[in-house]
Amino acid sequence: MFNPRIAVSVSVALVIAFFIGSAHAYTLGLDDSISQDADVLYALDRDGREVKIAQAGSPGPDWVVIEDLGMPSVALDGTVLFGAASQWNHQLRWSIFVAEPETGAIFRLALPTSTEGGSDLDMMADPRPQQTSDGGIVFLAHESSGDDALFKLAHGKLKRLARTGERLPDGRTVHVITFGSVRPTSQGEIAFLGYLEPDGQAEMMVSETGAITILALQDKQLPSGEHFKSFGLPSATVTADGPLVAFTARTDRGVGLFTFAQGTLHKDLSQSASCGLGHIDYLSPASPGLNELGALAVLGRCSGTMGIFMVRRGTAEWVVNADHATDDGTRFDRLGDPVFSEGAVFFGALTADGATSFFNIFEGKITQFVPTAMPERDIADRGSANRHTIEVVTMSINQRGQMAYLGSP
Amino acid sequence: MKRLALVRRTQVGFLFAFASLALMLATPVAAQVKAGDFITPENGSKVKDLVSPGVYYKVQRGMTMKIVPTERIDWPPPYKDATEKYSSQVRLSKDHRTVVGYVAGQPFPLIDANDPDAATKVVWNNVFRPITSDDYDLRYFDCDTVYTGYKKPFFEVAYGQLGHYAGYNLVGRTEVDPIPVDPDFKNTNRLWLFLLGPELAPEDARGTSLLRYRYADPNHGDDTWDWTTGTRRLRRLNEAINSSATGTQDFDPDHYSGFNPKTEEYNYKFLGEKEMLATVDAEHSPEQRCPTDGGASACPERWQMRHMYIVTAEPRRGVNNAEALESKSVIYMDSEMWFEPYVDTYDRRGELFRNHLSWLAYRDRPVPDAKVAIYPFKREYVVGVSSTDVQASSATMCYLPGLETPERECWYINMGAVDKAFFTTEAMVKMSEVGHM
Repeated sequence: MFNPRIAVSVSVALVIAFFIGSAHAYTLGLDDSISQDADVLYALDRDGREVKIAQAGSPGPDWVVIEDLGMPSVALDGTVLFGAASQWNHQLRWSIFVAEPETGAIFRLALPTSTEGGSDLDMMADPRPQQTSDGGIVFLAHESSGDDALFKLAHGKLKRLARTGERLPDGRTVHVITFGSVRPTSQGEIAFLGYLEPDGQAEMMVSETGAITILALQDKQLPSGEHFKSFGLPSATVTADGPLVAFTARTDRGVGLFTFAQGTLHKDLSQSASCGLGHIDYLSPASPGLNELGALAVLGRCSGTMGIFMVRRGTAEWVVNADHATDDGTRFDRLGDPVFSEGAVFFGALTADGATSFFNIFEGKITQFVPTAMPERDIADRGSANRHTIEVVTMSINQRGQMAYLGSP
Repeated sequence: MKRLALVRRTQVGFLFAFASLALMLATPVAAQVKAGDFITPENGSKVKDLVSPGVYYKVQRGMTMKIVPTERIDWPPPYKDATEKYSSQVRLSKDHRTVVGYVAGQPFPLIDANDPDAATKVVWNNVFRPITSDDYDLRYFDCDTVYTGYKKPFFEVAYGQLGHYAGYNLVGRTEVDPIPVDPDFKNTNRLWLFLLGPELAPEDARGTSLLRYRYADPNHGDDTWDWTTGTRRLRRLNEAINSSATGTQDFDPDHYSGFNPKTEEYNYKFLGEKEMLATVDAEHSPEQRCPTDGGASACPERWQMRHMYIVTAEPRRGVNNAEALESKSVIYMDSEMWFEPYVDTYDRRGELFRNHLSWLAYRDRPVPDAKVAIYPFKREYVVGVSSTDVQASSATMCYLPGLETPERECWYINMGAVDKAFFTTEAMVKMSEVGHM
């Protein structure tokens, strides 16, 4: 009755049960996020159903236990790219994974080493992989040599686009490439934030050939006479006029929203700009919302009230006011940063009842946009009110509205 | 009725405290002091608006100050590099109480006074501050507990000597492997480990030690154990006791090294930013006992004008912190050094209760004749710290290095001098039972 086949099955079941148990009992998320609320990676499939991709504390596709999950990104075809950390030689080190929400397939990306024409990487932090329009993957990683580099993996080859220690034609040296700042465009250029020596912090853009353009530089004087002091994260797209990069920055006259296109830097919004009730007094340093038509959306504060604003001709127009309720009566407690997709503005928010959810704004109407189905393991318990939480600041969305995000188990 | 009166009195106290602070922040700071000035109780009114009410209390009771020019304080290069690399991806969580995306370095280097979360960001910067990112072991230090008063003779109510003040951070490590995260963090969720002890003097407290774990989980309170001489037993402490001073001294664990309670158990308000006085590059290490306030501080010492962020922290009594002793702490955070030179706490009536004051030195070694702890760059060391109960006029002043201890080097920061094995209940009991390390 207890034949070898059943014994093997029971053993496998016990191993799985052990790992599942350990996930809940012993592993309590963090490293890249100090919160249990970011222990599971979810994505929405084509039908809007929520699919669980990976969970910290559980084995990954190669049976190595995933200790931590990084910020995901969603490619144009809905593929989810993410970094995950595992324990190697008493250190936490990261790898890149690719997942297909439609099929449930997930695999670890094999990166060529230096002997294979690649590089010897020591991935100490989330590489935040993102897909480029030609199907390549860009990410940031530490090299065993001690430098950090921005890589592009395409057709099995790993190309280093920018590296710390690299000398620019003007004599400056790339001192730091900031993790989490890399934003590829659909034409191959990649915007990122970093530090140059001398001079300091800079918004930069690197081309497919590795040529670096400095878009804005700390302490540089603008035509208005003001000087940059610090920069927020960039966002990047391609419009009919070519690559367009947007970012918020602090100057010695306050905060502002800037864009760089066709070799020219432009200030689109300043701290004193009108915003309906008064004047802008704060802009979020996160990447502004930006689409291929050049539309800009930004999280900020207008005379003491937080909101999401569309930026038009130097003025900020409210689209979400934290003090107002949505059409279905939902009240906001905290707003997240806006992103564009499918011609609409999406944002995550914590509502006044303590729930987190995603919303979109289309033609002036704010709609609560939540995953339409429970994750697989919850399907049997549809009636349960104990839905997992969503860490809205981890949301990634592609141009077709497909999303991935971290949440609680 | 009685309760109503109490509530009203509390509210009035709060209102008064806030009004005073608001007035203080609104008052334009004229150049009341200049480099070369020497501050005593007689001319102490010159600094009244340039220090916290608790520090001003100490000035009035004899703590003197030598005013020196403002100096630039740089972070340890590995910490600075980590900040430049990783800070841009750090966000506050959905409830804006904890952080997401933190790796190492300072989580929020850009503080914007108009940011509605500025106060919470200041406090998280304090959690992952540059002074000790990996580990620290302060070996042998001593403290006097005295009653303070102007020109009061030094009379020691109690003398304490301790073996270790040590910590190990599992996250945000920048100088000692494993970098940036100790993998143990993924198993235990511990953010940092801390051990104080064993107490070497007085004899009747010999062996007393305290062990504390901080967890990343916002809902998991600190675990704290102590070992005391009388019972000779390991005891697990209620989290609330960390806000209380016990024994004949004035420090409470929630204000060791500044503001130190579980971050998510407080609500924070950003009161403003202001130029104020602080000691960030002390002249003396070891510090010298103040001869004019009964030995309640280190003086005369160098004080300089610093740009400070001022934040209040109030316990979330209705959520997860019902028993905290104080009604609020007011944190004065140096915006360049990222360490709070002083914290004032207020009792439940809203009246000034305690002042926690630190004297820091900026140098490449903790003492001039150091032989081991020598760094290729300057870093900050806390060389003196006092906790003063302004309602009882008692103060405990600690000297780091100690005045009467055998070890003079004292501070070993980010040198791997302690590892996780040092911070176990078993190790603490062994250490405590034999009364030495």
